[in-house]
Amino acid sequence: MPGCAALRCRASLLALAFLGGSLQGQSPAPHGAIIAVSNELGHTVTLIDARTLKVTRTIQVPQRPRGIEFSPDGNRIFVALSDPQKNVQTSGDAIVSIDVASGRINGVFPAGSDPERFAITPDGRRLYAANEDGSWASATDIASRKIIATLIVGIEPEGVAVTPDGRWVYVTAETSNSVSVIDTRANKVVANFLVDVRPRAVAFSPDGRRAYVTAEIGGSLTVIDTRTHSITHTVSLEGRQGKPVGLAVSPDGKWVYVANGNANAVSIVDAERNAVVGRVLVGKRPWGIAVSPDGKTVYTADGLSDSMSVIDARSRKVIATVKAGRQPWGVAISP
Amino acid sequence: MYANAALLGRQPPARSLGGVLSGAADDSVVLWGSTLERYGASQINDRYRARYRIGMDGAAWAGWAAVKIAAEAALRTKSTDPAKLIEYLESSATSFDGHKGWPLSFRFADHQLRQPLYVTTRTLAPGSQRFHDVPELRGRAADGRVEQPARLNQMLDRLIASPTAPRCRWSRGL
Repeated sequence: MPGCAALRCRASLLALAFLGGSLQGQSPAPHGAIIAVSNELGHTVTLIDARTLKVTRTIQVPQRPRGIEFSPDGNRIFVALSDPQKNVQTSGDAIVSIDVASGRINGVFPAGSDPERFAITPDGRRLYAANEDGSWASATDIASRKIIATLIVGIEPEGVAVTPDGRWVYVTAETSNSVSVIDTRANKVVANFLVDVRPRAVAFSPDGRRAYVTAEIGGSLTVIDTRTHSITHTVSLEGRQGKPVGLAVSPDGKWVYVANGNANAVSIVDAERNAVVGRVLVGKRPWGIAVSPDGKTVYTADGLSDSMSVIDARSRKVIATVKAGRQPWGVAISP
Repeated sequence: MYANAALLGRQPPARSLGGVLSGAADDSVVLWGSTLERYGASQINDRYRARYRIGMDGAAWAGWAAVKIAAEAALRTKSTDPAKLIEYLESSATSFDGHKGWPLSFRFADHQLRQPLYVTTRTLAPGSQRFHDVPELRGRAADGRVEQPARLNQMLDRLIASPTAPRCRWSRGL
């Protein structure tokens, strides 16, 4: 890719990795044991022990971190980094992997310019990233650390999710109000459809039959039938004024949790009825949201509170608030 | 909408807005500014600057938004039939995103676009105007709930209503 001197980029990122955090050993996590928060202003990733809710490590990253995901085996955390230069790809634009055990950056993956959100295929072989300042999505082969496809999607692409069977990738685009469907076998865009105004994040139900898309300006959750790639329901949230961004589906597929950045609240949507059944107040401007693998706990990254809220899914109450870094953006939990 | 852009281009003082805003005399109300960042504003500003080598001003934003709204209306209705487009644009269920963090909609009575405006203070160095986002005037209940859109639209209607504003009419001959 133009401007990405991969070797120099890797060297500088690795050098910086050694400057961050303490490097005492930390063994790879059992299921749902570690929560990772990306702090976009602080340029850090906070690791939190899910049982004790204590911060176990703060990892410095060289650029602004946003999208954050664990690898399917739970050994690595992938983080999308963007440099401050818009419309230009520099060595600062990349997705890096952090070794959970050591807290060190152990891989740098080119992912086009200004990567924001991304998804990892269930086999752990590929990354699909949205390039916000372009109108494309990049597919990166993790083993060779090479971009294998650049796909034209909507304008200002944002949300990315891969179906549980790895067959399809959905990419939302904020300005064109669209979702592009990528066939991962051919690495081609096979469909585009419109959703509610200013779509942000996308997630699939565990059975892959439904997709959910938040619409920030529309103030809603769009429900999509993935067999036909068409909309079945549009669920209004917070009087359409909540600016919903992040969303997560419970492992049993029964609940969809949506972080409303402007309402400082999480909406709980019953996936069977496509209706809002609960509301939980969290910190200020929640964007990132994740559900524990057992479905019992929901976490939000509260951007303007510099904290993470911990919600008990059964009582639908915040049971703890954990201090994170400056301006938390995303949150992920080890699978 | 474009007529409004021209009007605002003349930068009436903020206090002309019925005393709702009590800015200094050199404050002006603008449709858009090239240094806006929130709600995706930096993305459209960057794209515009990369393409045209100048900052996006209010008139440029209005031109862009007009084309975007027309294109979206055609895509959403799957039609270029004026009657269908008018029905869609007039509908209270229709809204658009103009990178202002607020749903844009057309007031049925006179087809004015309900939208956030910005109050900019020119006492700072050129190129460093501070923009104030008018919808931030909204109230917020103690439990964090935000106001309902109908009430907010009423508030915006008060803000943009002016006896001197030109009356827009759809031309059915287009």
